[in-house]
Amino acid sequence: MADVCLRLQYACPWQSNMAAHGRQPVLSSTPLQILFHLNGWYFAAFFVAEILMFIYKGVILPYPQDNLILDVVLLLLFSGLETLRLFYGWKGNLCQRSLALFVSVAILVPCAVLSVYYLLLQTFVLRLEFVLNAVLLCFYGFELVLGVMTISIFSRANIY
Amino acid sequence: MADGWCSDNGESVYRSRDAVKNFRIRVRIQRVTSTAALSEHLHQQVLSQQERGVIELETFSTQTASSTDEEELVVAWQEKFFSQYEVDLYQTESNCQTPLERQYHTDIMAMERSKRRQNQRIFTYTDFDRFSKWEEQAQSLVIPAQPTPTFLAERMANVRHRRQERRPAESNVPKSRLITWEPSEEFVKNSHIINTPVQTMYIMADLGPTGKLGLKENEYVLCTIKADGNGVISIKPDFNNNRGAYRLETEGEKREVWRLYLENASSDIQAEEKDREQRMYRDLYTRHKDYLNSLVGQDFEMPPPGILRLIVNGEIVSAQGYEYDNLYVHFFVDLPNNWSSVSSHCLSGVTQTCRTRSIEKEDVAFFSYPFSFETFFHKEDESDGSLPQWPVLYFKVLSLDFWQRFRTEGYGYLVIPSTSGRHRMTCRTWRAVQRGTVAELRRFFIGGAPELEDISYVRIPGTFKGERLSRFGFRTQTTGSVTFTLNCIQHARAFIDASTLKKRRQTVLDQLGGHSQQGSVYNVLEAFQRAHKRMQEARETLPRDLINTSALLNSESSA
Repeated sequence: MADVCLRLQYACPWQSNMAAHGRQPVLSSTPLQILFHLNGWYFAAFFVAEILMFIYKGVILPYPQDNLILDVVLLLLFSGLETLRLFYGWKGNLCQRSLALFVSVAILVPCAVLSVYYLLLQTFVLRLEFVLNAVLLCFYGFELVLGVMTISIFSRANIY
Repeated sequence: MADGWCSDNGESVYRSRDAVKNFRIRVRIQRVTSTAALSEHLHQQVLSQQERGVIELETFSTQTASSTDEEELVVAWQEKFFSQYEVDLYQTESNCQTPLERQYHTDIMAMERSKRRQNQRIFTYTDFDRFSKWEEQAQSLVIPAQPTPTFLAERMANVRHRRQERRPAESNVPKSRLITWEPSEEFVKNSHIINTPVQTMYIMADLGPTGKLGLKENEYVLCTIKADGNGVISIKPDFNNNRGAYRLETEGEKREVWRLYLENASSDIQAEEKDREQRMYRDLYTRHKDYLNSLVGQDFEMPPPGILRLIVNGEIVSAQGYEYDNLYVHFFVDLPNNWSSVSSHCLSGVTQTCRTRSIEKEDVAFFSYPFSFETFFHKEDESDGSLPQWPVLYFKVLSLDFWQRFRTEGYGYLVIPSTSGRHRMTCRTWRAVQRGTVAELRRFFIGGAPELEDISYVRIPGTFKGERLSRFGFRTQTTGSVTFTLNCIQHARAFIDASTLKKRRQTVLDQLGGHSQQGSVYNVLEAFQRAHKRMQEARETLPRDLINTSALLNSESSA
């Protein structure tokens, strides 16, 4: 029989007073943070692979010049949007800001559209591109669900 | 003629505490040549030839006796006696150019009117006289010593020369040549040498023939006296003091020889003046001492009896061996029972955030954070048998990341040492962990970590009431360490009592207990306990019926 008069609580960032009681629990979502972490690394690899595949398709296949330029520009736009989304998601989750996380979920929509474009609507779609975009869309699905849940948790909590 | 000449005519230096204006010297010169015999011979001839005129003979003999050359004069410091040459020179007002010379003119005219001249041959040159500058270069005519002037003597003579040349009343400063761009050697010699201010006085003698006084070439230096502001007086030549007379020999065809005597004529201070001076000095020193005492003060703060005052000036030196970067330390001082603190003092604090650097394969964060606090110990309940406890410094180390998430890196505590002085100690820390990898993932990604609600659980929690503290089931992980430096000062009135009674001090608290007001109460309680114990022992040995009899007696006495 353990006689430990101890109650463990988790650290809160905004309360630095040691004498405070009844501290707020940590509301941040660990799975969402893990997904953001993995998605960051995955998108970096995805970007490099796409650049290399565009070089390959431009050299080997009879790629139209206008279509190639359009695809590369869209890829750059995709990377910018993805970076912005990851930053706001990361910040919103760690700092427990609903607005930042909402912005992240909002940017998720154009990112998904671009991913579907690269999955289906490119001039030439390789099998590797198909697989990479499919995995990326899975990431987006999980992040959408967890993001909405975390936003609801943040909104319901009384933060003062 | 050759009897008792003093050939030692060197300079002598004296040091005096008295003011130099009290200096007196008696000068006496005496002619010792055949001219005196010749005068006596002439005197006898006149007496033998004219025996009828008594008045004329008396007048002539008086005149001869007065010219029998021996003169004595007491000279004070910087006292002006005029020579015949000066009297002749300054009688004419047109010769007076400076205010000093006009003053001399007034003095000479007054002296001529009052007919009270004290000197004939002996006169003085003071420090302000115009003739002082080149008279110094003239050598003393004491024949056995004729030194050649050295380079230093020449430059010092020029120094005196420089000061005379710069008399402001006599000359005007040229305004067009304030800066000399190419100074000549003579200019440097006159202007650049620094000299200690020394006042000089010459005692001169007019050794001319009788009736022919006033010629410049017949003037000779008898004595040179110098004095500076520090009370150093140099006299050249020295006083005679029962030695032979100095020998003076004139130049010219007659070659007369004079005898010179110098004697110290300064009078001692009066007894009542000396007492008054000593009293004045004593009052001056006493007043100065009182002034210093009023500045310093005499209050030395002392704690009340039976109270120990503990003053700690500490420093959080460094933290080493932690996992994350950007460390900071939360700390507070926990006071046990019977300890109190000044309300204005703060017993908690937090250091700055510090990045670590690698020193000998270990990450070290140097805080160098100073803190200080002051507490008082007052033991009121002497009968309590528990050991006295000392204050405890609880601390926890946390880290802060880019997103302002902090993680608990370690918990630790430090018991304030019971001895005074400087202490440097390193405390090892631990942190609470949870079972499973989910907690580690949470700690890595989010920053959440298990945290103690009551930090005194590091040692003995404040709410603990039992006899045995069990920590079974509580999981921890060893982390780094924190280094502290403490300077402890203990202040109590019992320390004076201990030193006065020359008793050996076992512990501070025993002395506090022994010399406080509650000590007597404690003794009374102890005696009561012993008496109570003896009564219980006596009651156990008595038979039962005797106890009943004593109870009956008590009831009767109460009725």
